[in-house]
Amino acid sequence: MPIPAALLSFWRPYWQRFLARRHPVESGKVRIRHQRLYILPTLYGLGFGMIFITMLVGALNYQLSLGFFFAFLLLGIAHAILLRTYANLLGLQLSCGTPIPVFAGENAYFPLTLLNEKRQPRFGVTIQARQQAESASTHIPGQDHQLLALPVQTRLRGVLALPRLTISSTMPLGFFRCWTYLVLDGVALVYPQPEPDPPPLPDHGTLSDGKKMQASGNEDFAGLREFQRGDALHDIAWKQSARTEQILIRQHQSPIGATLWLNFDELAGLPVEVRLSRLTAWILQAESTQRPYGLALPAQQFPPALGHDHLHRCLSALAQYPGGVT
Amino acid sequence: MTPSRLRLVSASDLQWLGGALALSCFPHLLEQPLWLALSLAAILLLLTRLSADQRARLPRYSHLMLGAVVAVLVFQAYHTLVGREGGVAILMALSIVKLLETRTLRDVRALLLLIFLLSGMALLHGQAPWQAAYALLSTLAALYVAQRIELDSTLPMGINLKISSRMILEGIPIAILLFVLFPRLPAPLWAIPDHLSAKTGLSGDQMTPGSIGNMIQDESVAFRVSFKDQAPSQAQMYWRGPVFEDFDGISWQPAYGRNSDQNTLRFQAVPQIIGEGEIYSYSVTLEPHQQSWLLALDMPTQIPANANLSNRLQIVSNQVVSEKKRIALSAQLSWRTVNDSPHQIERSLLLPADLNPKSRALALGWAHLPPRQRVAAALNWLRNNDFSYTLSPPILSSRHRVDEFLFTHRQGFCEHYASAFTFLMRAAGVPARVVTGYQGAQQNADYWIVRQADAHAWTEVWYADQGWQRVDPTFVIAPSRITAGIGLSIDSSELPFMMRQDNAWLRTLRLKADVLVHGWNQWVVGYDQKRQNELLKKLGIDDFLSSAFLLWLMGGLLTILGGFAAWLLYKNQPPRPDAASRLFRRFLRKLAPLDKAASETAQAFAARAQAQYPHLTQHIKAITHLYLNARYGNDPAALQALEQAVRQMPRARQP
Repeated sequence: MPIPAALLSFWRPYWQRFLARRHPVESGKVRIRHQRLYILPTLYGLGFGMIFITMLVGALNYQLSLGFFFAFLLLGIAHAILLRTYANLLGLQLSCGTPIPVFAGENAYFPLTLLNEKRQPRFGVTIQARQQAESASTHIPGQDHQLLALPVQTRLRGVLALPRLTISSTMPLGFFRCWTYLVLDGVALVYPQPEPDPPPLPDHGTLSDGKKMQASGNEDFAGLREFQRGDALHDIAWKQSARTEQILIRQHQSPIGATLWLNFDELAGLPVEVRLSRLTAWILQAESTQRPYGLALPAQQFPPALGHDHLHRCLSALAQYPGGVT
Repeated sequence: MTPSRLRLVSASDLQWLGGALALSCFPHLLEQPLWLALSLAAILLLLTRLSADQRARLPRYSHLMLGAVVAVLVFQAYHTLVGREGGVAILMALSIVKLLETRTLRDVRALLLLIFLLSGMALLHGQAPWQAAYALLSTLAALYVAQRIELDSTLPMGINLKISSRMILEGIPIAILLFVLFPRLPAPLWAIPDHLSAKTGLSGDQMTPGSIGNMIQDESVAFRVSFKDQAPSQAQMYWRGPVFEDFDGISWQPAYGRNSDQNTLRFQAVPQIIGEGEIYSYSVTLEPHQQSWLLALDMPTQIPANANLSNRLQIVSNQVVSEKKRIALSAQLSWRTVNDSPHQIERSLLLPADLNPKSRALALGWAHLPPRQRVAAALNWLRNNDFSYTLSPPILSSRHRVDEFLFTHRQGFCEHYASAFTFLMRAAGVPARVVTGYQGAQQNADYWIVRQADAHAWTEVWYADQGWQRVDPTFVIAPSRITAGIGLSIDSSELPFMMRQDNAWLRTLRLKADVLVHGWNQWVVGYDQKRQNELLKKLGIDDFLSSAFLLWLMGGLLTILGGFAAWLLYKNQPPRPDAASRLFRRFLRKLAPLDKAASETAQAFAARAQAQYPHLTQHIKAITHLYLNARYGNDPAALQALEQAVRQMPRARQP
């Protein structure tokens, strides 16, 4: 329906505020209640209404008794469909889990659990987060639950709260659209976007004793260890492996690697977000090449280490670095 | 606009759609001229067989061309594209063509709406119970296919069918309520030029000896009659139809033709009927005969609304009877008419000159008698001259047909006798005219059936003191025709099944079925403004603006809609958990705000709860153990212990 854009933009803040008041943030398992369930006919449903009116006028004109009955039957059927569409969402329970952190620009997938306590299945439940192009839709069998990963596009680093959801359904026949708004308290951590083409790791980094150190790459051979999943193929020491009947991995231990410090302050001259973005890229690079790294932020320091937990801690710190817009 | 409306629909779904369209078109195709029906059915069949892929390869302009072709075909058949016949045909034809370009969900939805419309419009062709059942069936098919396509065919067939039929069942209470209460209009909203389909029945244009004899083979019902109190005897049931006055030697024609100037004359100088004796009140449920005259028991004393008495004492409706119509009437079986127009009486003496000289000579022999005795003399002459009543009389072909009948063949049917007798009366100087209609009826349960085969013709003569009076010459020839019905007066093998006298159980069965049909006609099909008023009066509703009407409407709607809503809320309640689960929930509440996830097992939760509230470890362990035993171990003792344990457990956090 064409509503003048100016009018729309004038009312939008009021409307949003109204919705926010009416649908506050809810935590845990949220049950869709009838007070907050809305329903309106779709274009298709209005078309069905036109068929009803046509039948009614025809029956009036030709004085067809059964024509009246048929027209009213269409109305009765529409009513039955209205109730079914409404019942399709009524009582559905939703809860949101914690999504896996993502880098800014990627989709964060919020894991939603849809629990159906009814015996009847619920069809075509569509969930769309506010201002998102993508939606997810699913059928939930009777007395069962369904897991759904709802994609939400991220643009900025930080903590992303799950936007207000619109849960809608037009099933079973598409004549009516029934919907409700739901604000669940799910949050996703969004790491800064890694710089696409970052400069090489800061080889001019300082040693732990404060001296400048020399860059010598990661060529120094430090020993062998057993193969672990995830090791790069080119690190396999084929000759030694052949001898020992074990797959062995060459470990490189460059002196720089042990003491790679990624320092926020050393990137002076760059805007904050760019610095964070470059640090992110470096951390990923260091992690992928298995070089222990430390992260120094003005307020926080993470001593050099490797591994998933360390990576997550560092990236979280970058994501939550003050000044960012969430 | 959601992208899902542009979703492509699978080939099998489209075939289902084609099937539903075929089902809804079938009753319409039956009504079309054969060649049109065949060509449309062929297109439909072909389209249903084509897969979506094959159809996608057809060039775009092919739809337009096919559309134009069917439009021309329909125009060829009806010479119009609007109105009942042409409109239905073109709508159906274009729906069939629409199937060709149907690919996306949006197209499917548009076509489904047309299928709903076509299903309902099938009722234009007739409102018999089976036609209503068929409309329901094709609505069910449309709902089934709509649901199947909407759900992307994930729904098992049986469940879909169950849901679809329940939607219809749930729609019926609302349909009945609105059907009863929705105001009816006394007249159509606008007149639609209608292609008058040829119907069997009495002709109002002319009566030629032989024309009624042809109707004897037609056992279809002309109308049904319910008498309010007592019914007259069968011999007295003369159902008055068209009256004929002008004779040209071959056929009798009405005094006024069909054109409207002459028609207004029909209602001028209407004589008055003064009835005598018992008043019979009755109602007639008339089958559509595409004429404006109504059939009433001779003589009518009460004229229904929307109808007038013509100066030939014939009840004429304001509209053509194109639908089943129920009319309330009353009659008295003996009467006088006064204020007959002299012009009409003069006219009832006219005869074509120099025709039938022998008959004229015979009639002139009675001219010296008083009028009543002229009639008696003529009847006597018929009685004594070896006339016989037969369905297959020799065909009259000479110029002097009355002479030929009276003096050569002497075999005829009612219209031969009525025609000849009227001729004799006019020749003898008694004003006379031919009346056609039906005579007799067949009783079935509490009503009477009059069939086309009961068609009859008789004569009316005018006496100065009594006005127009009925004389039935057939009575003299075959008295049993009048007293016992046609079945006893004629050789049975000439008659249609339902008119025969040999009693067969099959006929009884058909009469039983007719009781149902009659009830259907009275209460469903014949439910018009008048019936509605009667019913509403019984409910205490005087008019549609009264508070009583609103009360009934609102009360009814609230009962039905509220009932559904209550049922919906009731159904939506989660099933009541068993005793062990209920106790476990109490235990969970005591641990609030700690929350158990739906996917978490009791044991996993217990571990978490213990970590959170170490001081409750004993309770949590015991309760979890008892719960698992009670719920899954089928241990009644555990249930009691669980209850006790839950009761004894302190709250995790005091409020």
